[in-house]
Parts: sequence; C-alpha cells; structure tokens
Amino acid sequence: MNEILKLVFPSFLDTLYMVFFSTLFSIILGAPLGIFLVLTDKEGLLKMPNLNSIIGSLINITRSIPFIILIIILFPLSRVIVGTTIGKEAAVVPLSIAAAPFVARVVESALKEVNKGVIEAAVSLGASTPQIVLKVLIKEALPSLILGITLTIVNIIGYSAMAGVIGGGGIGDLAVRYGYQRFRTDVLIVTVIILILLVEITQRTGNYFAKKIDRR
Amino acid sequence: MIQIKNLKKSYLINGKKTDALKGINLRIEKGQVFGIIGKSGAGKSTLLRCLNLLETPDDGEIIVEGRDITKFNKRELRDYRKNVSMIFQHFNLLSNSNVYKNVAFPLEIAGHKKDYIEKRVRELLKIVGLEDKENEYPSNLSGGQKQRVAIARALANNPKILLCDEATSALDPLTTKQILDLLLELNKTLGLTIVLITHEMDVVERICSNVAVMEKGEIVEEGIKEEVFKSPKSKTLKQFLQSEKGGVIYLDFKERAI
Ligand SMILES: Nc1ncnc2c1ncn2[C@@H]1O[C@H](COP(=O)(O)OP(=O)(O)OP(=O)(O)O)[C@@H](O)[C@H]1O
Ligand SMILES: [Mg+2]
Repeated sequence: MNEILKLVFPSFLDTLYMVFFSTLFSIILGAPLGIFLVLTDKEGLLKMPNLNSIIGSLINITRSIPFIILIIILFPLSRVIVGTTIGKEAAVVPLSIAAAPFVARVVESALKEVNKGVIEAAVSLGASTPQIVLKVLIKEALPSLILGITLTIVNIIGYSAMAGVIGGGGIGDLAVRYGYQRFRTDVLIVTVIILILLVEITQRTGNYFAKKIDRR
Repeated sequence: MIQIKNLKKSYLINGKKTDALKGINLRIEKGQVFGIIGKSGAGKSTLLRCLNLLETPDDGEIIVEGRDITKFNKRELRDYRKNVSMIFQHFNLLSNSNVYKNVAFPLEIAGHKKDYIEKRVRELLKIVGLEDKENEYPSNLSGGQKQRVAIARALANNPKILLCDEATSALDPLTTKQILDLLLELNKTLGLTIVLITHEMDVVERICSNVAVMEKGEIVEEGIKEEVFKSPKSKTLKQFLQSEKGGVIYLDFKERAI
C-alpha cells in the first residue's frame, strides 16, 4: 500500500497542477469570449451580429474536434510556449485551449439568463457597458457561472487523464505506465478511485457555493 | 422642461412596419405629475422609453431643459440618464444584491466615494421608509417594498425627472395607494417632475396634475386633469371614465391580451 501511495501521490499532485492551471487559463481565454458573444448578440448591448456569428462558428468548430485529436494537433504548440511536449506543463497548453471554447459557451449561457429588465434598469441609470458587465451581468449570473466553471473543471479532470495517455503526466500517465503496460491492476484501481473522488469533491463544492450565493 | 416635437417610432414586426408613435407633440412642465393613459398597445411605453432613449426615435425632437437629447453622444447620454430615472412594473432590482447594494448601485457607477455612498443610501432608505431592511435581499421583500427600493435607487443621483412605467400595476390597491402617496410626497418635497403611464384610472385620479390620452400611437387629448376629465372627447377616455363609475373595468379582453 505504501508503495502505491508513493507512486500515486506525485502523479496526483501533477494532475492537480494540470487541472488548476488549465482551468485558470481556459477561463482567461474563454470568459472574455463568452462576454463578447453576449454583448455582440443581436439583442445585446453592442449588437454586432456578423462578428458574433463568426466567433460563434469558430467556437463550434473547435468544440466539434474530438479532444484526443485536438491534443495531438496542439502538442506542437506546447513546444513553442513551454519549450517541451511532455509532462504536466506541456499538457496545460492543449487542455486550456480545448476547454476555452467550452468556457465561452458556459459563460455565454449563464449571462444570457440575466433578467433583461435588470440590465435595462442599469442602462436607464446611466451605467456604461463595462459597468454593466461587471456589476450586473457577472454579479447576477454568479451562481450559474460557478456551476459552469465546476462543469469545466470536471471536464478538464477527464481530459487531463486523457492527456496523460499521450505524454501529459499526472494520474492518466501513471495508469498507462503501470496499470496498463506493467499489468499493475492495483495501481489502475487506485487511479480510478482518485479520479472519481476528485470529480465528486469538485462537483459538491461547486454546488455548495452556487447554492450559497444564490439569492434569487 | 420637456418638449416633444413630432416624435415618430415604428417597429418591424414580421417584416411589416408598424407605427408605434405617429408624430407626438407634448409639453411637460417642471413639477408636474404628468399621466399618460391609453389602452394596451397605444404606444405609452414606447413614448416613455423614448424620454430616456431606451428606445431610439426614428424622427422628431425631445428637448429637455433646452437640449435635444436625441442628438446626445454616448457620454452625454449617460450623464443625462443620471438626471432622469425610471421605475418599472416589475421593479428590476439586482436579485443577488441586498437592498443597500441596490440603492448604492447608481452612486457607485457615478463614481462617488464610499463615505458619501453610505450616507446617501441611509438617507434614501429613510425617505422610502426601509431603514431596517438594508441587509435584506429582494426575494424576501413584498412588492411594495421592492418598489420602494427601486424608488430609492432611482432617486440616488438627485434626478429632476422620474419616469414610471406601470409602476403600481403589479401591486395590490392598498400598496398602490402607499406608493402613490410616496411619489406625490417626492413631487412636493423635491420638486420632482413625474411622468407616469398607466391603464389604471385610479392612479391618474390620485396623483396626476396633467393627463394625456393615447390611441394608436397618437395623443388624442391632453391638458389639466380636472378639465380633461370634465369633458372627455376621446373614445378611450370616455370608456375609462365610464368603467370607473360603474366600478367595472371593461377594457376589451382581446385588446388587453395583446
Ligand atoms: N420592442 C418592440 N418590438 C416590436 N414591436 C414593439 C416593441 N415595443 C412595442 N412594440 C409595438 O409598438 C406598439 C406600442 O407598444 P407599447 O408597448 O408602447 O404599448 P403600451 O401602450 O405601453 O401597451 P401596454 O399597456 O400593453 O404596456 C405595439 O403595437 C407593440 O406591439
Ligand atoms: Mg406598456
């Protein structure tokens, strides 16, 4: 048991590393896109329908490429950005880019739920578009945003295990090297249990906070 | 104070052009409580929403204190809107912000300092009688209380004009009376000019000094309330007054359902 722990623990930390940074970067890339989609919608505050549909299509294309293929396409980019194509740092690049369009859609649908009347009230009080984004849209949609980000993290946990299979490090990498190639079923089982727990804890924490701050 | 000249607005509904405002001319003076009545679809909301440019008119002028607001650029428009507030039928409060934060919102966006905001919010909550509710969230308030919060929010930046779009239509009669009393008091004490639209005659009877009647995108009669009511000319007003007397509201169901 001790031996398994020694094997699994560093991989577990690597997975946390990949999930944390991929989530962070996918939000940094995806959230502004989502906000942009809402604002440029034909009923949005900025109304730029052409640009809106171009960005929308780009997001759809990226989302329709199977993740495993996307990683293969994007690993070369890791060499440019982090200088290597293997290990946890390298995996963060494709993971972030793969999850960003998903985040954009999550943010878009959360912000679109915000009551139009409330936005109108803010406009009537003289609020500027950036003020409305920060103080009305994001604030009103926060519970949905938290649930959406939770969903993103859960996806990234799954993706990160896949990334491990093709050289990404972390739990997935361990499962392949020991569980599969060396027939260590015990290691395989432990990795699966860890992934299940990780997803479960993430989901429960997300639900808890989303519920706690929802005053609607 | 507000002068509307030949104001026009039309919408495309299913590719068909529909005139919502067919050349409105109207003068509203400082300190008036100006009621606009009319049946559903007459264009009341469209007209009111042109006064803070939530709707952009197709043609015509809206002169407020000597300046044509339809010519404003973005910046001028935002400043103008801080002087002209609006309250709504469904209150439109920030549901994830408490009463304090809701009232502080217009002060924050106007860039005031924290100390001032705190002082002002307390002052406003006192005016609307909600001093003890500052930490409540809108979902825990009654309709009347929500509208009071909305009024406090609307007053925050000391507007000169208050626009009310069916502000009491979602409230019961007693609460309606209380809100109207509050509006009238604000009109008297702050010299606030109020423009309100309604299809409740009661509201007009109670607080309006002037009234205009709308039918199909046009103003069909207009003037000092007592005079207009004494000798109604339009079909709409005759019907409204009739239903008042008989105690039954008989607006055609078809028309209301639209
Ligand atoms: N955003 C819009 N898009 C299309 N048509 C609209 C829009 N707003 C109003 N209209 C049309 O303009 C006309 C006037 O509508 P408006 O909402 O001003 O009437 P109203 O007098 O306020 O009615 P109500 O008492 O039902 O609120 C109606 O024919 C309506 O269908
Ligand atoms: Mg209306």
